[in-house]
Amino acid sequence: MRRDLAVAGVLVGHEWRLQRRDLVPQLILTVMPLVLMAFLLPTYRSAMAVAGSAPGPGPLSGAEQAVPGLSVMFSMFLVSHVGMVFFRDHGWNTWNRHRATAVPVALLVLSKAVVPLGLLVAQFTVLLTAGRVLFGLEVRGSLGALALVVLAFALCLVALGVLGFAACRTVVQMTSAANVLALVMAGLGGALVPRDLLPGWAAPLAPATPSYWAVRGLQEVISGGAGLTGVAREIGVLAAFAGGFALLALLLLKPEQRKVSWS
Amino acid sequence: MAVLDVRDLSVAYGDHVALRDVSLRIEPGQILGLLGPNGAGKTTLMNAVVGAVRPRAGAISVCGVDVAAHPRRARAYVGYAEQEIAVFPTLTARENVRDWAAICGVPRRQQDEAVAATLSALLLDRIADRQVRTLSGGQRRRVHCAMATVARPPLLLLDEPTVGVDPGTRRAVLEHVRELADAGTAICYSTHYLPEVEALQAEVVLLADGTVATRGGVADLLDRYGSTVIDLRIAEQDSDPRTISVKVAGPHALPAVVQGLGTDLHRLVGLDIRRSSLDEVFDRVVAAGEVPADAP
Repeated sequence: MRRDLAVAGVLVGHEWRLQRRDLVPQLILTVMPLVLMAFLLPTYRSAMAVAGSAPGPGPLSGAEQAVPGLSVMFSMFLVSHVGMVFFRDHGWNTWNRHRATAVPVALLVLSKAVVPLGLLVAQFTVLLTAGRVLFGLEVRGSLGALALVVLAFALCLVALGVLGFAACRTVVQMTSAANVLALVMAGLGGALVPRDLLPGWAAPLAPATPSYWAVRGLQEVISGGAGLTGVAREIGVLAAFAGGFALLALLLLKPEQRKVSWS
Repeated sequence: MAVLDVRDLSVAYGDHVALRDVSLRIEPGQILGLLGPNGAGKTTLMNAVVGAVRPRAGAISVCGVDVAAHPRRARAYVGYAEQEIAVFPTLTARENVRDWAAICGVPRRQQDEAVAATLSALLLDRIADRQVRTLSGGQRRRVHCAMATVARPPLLLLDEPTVGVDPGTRRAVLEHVRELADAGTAICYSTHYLPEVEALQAEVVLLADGTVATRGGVADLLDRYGSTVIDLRIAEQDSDPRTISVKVAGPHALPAVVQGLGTDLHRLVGLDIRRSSLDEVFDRVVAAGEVPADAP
């Protein structure tokens, strides 16, 4: 067990050295939602007023929807980057090199997934902080509860990324599926438009997406002033999604399968 | 105890039998040259040793550990450089080798020394801090080999480690392999360059169509399957000397051949002794229908 933990630490450091050389995609997916927030803030304010959405006391600024919604949406675009970690190793032939060592595949996958998890949390942290500084977002509830919602959703996305790697044979399959999924889930989950404005056919489907629970949890804390107990259900559902995706990934993952990385 | 013990190994991919009843052993400090044409089963054999392919029959043990029963424990004893270069291009050569040393369990306080020694042995010192993506193919291959050897595993599997490299790099790789063997590492060395096997003084296992076609030391194989030809140049009165070629059992037959010239002996102006190369032995053993009846 101690040896496994030590190896996991080595693998996390190794993966971080690999990823830190090219953080441009993460940077872009952090800047883009900030640009969109600046453009969409008045629109969201009007839309929420029309819909009668009043997530908390005080005047609406639009940031209550723009910041959590767009943060959730753009974090979902990072799902394909989680899968890329493993497709990249196939492209470099280092996946098989790893498999020829004494490191178990499960430990390898978990260790490598730690870095994208950290990057997802960092993306949320930057977006929420920038939302407060630039757009006047006020967090009325507990910061601890906010952190747990973010962590549970990030875990869910990492598990989804590993599932994408396990289920797809080529990187093109995975990135295409991930991008479509990100848009559909963002739309259904109320990340694009306030939940109260979702079309009638979409509203019943919304709870079947993790993005719905993430947006709901974030808004409960930010606008509704909720503490940990107030978002326990959201955190629990997100954790269940994460567990389900991870289990499915475990069932579908064939470590010996040759993946096609660059086409 | 043999470091690698392969017994009656058979591997199949669907209907295609890649290996059939292959047995071999490698002792500590021994280099086994694994020869054979493309598709003979060399890579499959190495992949089976690290548990990457499942045998249909037979058993493999590494340092006494059964690979099928305890693949993880067995792999801890193995360093493997696959035929395809497997490096992390965005890391430097040093980072590649250091990370791999750590992943393979080299204690932190020994890593600097192990990495420096391995980089030096493979002539990578001067380029150690360059990103691997900026290196040439031969340099990348040396980094690839360095990652397999840095942890000094008891068993080293090298699958065509000198493909596409220049002569200097080849010499460095061969010297490194020889040093590791001298230090006790058991090495399975797959190659198409037969002079390398001779240079390494390796025992040879020649695979053909997934079976062991023959095995033995280089000299032994040359004796068994090679031939010696003596070319005698005889002076002619009005023309250039003519050459008579005599196929014999070995160089020891030279006196008898010369005496056989009888009255023509005084016209002998030169002679050459030609022995088969390992390449010729390889071709002869592999060629269908030409495996000698006494082949083991």
